[in-house]
Amino acid sequence: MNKLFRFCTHLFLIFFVACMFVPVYLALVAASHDGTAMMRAPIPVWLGTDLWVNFKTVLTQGLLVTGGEPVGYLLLNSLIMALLIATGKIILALCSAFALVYFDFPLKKFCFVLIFCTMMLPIEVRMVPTFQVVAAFNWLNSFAGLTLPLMASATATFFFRQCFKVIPSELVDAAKLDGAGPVRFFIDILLPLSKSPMAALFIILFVYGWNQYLWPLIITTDPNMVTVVMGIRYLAGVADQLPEWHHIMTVALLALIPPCVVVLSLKRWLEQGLQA
Amino acid sequence: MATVHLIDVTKQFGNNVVLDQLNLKIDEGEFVAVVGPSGCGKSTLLRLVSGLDTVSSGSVLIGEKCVNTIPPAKRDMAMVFQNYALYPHMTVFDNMAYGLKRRGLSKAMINTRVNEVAALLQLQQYLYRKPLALSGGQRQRVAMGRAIVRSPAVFLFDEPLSNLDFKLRMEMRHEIQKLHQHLKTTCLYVTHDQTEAMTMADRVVILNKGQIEQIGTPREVYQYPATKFVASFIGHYPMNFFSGTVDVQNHSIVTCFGITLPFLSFINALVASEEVLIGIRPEDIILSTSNTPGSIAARVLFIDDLGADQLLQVKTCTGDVMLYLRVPGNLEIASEEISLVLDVAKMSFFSKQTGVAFRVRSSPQAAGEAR
Repeated sequence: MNKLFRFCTHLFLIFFVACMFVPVYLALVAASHDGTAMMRAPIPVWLGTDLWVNFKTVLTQGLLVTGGEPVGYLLLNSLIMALLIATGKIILALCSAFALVYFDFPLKKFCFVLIFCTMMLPIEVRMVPTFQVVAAFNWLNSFAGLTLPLMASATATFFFRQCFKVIPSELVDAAKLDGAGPVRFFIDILLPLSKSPMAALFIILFVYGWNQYLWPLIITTDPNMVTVVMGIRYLAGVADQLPEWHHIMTVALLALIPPCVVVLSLKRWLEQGLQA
Repeated sequence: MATVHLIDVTKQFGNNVVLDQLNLKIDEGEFVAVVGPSGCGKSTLLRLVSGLDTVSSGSVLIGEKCVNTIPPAKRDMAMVFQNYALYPHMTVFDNMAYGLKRRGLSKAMINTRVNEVAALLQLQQYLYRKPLALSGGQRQRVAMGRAIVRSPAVFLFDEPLSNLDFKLRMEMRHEIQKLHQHLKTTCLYVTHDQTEAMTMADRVVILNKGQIEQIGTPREVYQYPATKFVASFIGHYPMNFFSGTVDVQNHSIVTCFGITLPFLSFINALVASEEVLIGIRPEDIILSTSNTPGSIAARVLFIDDLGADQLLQVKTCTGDVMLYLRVPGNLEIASEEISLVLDVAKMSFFSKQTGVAFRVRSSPQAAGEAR
């Protein structure tokens, strides 16, 4: 009975792993065949041999549908946008959490509530007014317009606030006695102690920034500013041509790689940081 | 080295008065312990002297200079915290050097100073470890090292030994005393443990609910307590209290267990049949025989065998009063029925209403007490 139970448990878990893995596998299959293979029935099940050829085509020559931009350029745009969003959010959240935890100022409770309320206002809700503001600043088709409206993060602020509250208040007293003012305390003591949460948040926010689709779509018209996520959509949504599945899947796989690299390299801190 | 002077210092949070018109003078090089129960305001007092909190009224003087408006880092004092407050991400060396770095000392100077202090506290082998890799006692030494390295005029200690076990506490007590003898810096030591206060201090300040009950040397505070609170707070074994009624005609006090105590000067100030509270320490109650004049018959309820001493809890046959007495550890208590004699010379008398002591025995400092 026990053996049967364990077998079923494993089967159950394998099923869910498969749910996660099978789509990626199918993408690999599609990316490693030539264009015609995906049009025939049955769709190939095993990996083909054209993986590198497809990668090369997509990275160097570009595709007509995306205006002939090599996908490498799209990847670069996405990378810059994701990095800017992640670092900007972290810096802003650190500063607001610092103010909320270590200072007493008039209307502090009101500010706290205000920050909390912004959680109800993701970019999708405030698209139109934000677009008008960005357009008024002439930031359309620029990285400023792409990233600045996404910089404020209530979740990150509260996350850092919790992390700061765990730090014993006697450290503040000791720092005061040592002659460290608020800024010195922030740089010398608070930041080094927040390394783990910062890394954990960086991963989450980087992936968030990387996956941004709606906002870049609205803000950019210049093909130079297209991000890779938008690029996939352009490839797949062509009206009067057959979709080039092998190229689409190659680009999708390429789009997966940088977030994976970031998560894998900062994984250690993610586990530590979320424990804090 | 500097003097510390608190003049009419009051601290209140909203309507809650934590410290009420405190006056305290600490001489150069003196070790003063502030002791009291939880919530009496001793940590607040320390924070006011250090500058981490501001006074509501009154002034704090360090070295005859009023420091009310001077920030903590510029007050020429250093503090050792209860939870050590070491920077967890810095090595022991960096922890000790941080204050000096902030002051702008050169690297060479910082190096010399930190190494000197590390040698003084036997921390040389731990200099490049982080606080997490140290034991409690070692961390406390690093915390003290951090304070010493600044060469302050005043050391402030905020219950530094509370987190250590008993044996380590004794060791660290001696370390602190040795340091004080070596450095001769003025020390203000706050604790809730009266043993620490009594063994380490030149003078003890007993604080209760924001007011100073008594200031005196450990001996004075033990033998001539100024109030009932001081009498019950100080002393390893609890003091015994019982009541007595004044008999003005016979110039005596009739105790509740029948015996009379012949007394003296302060009786004239009292009304007839007024009740006084009498205190006597467990070691001043002596076992005797039933035919000794003035003896009290009692029954032994419990014997606490503490090794070197035995603490007997007895109940008097007349008056049903619970008393504690201390006898040597090797004394055999033959029967439950015993006789006690009270050492009248060592008794303390307190007013039942105010708890203030009547000065019957002459104490050397009787004239100069705070109350």
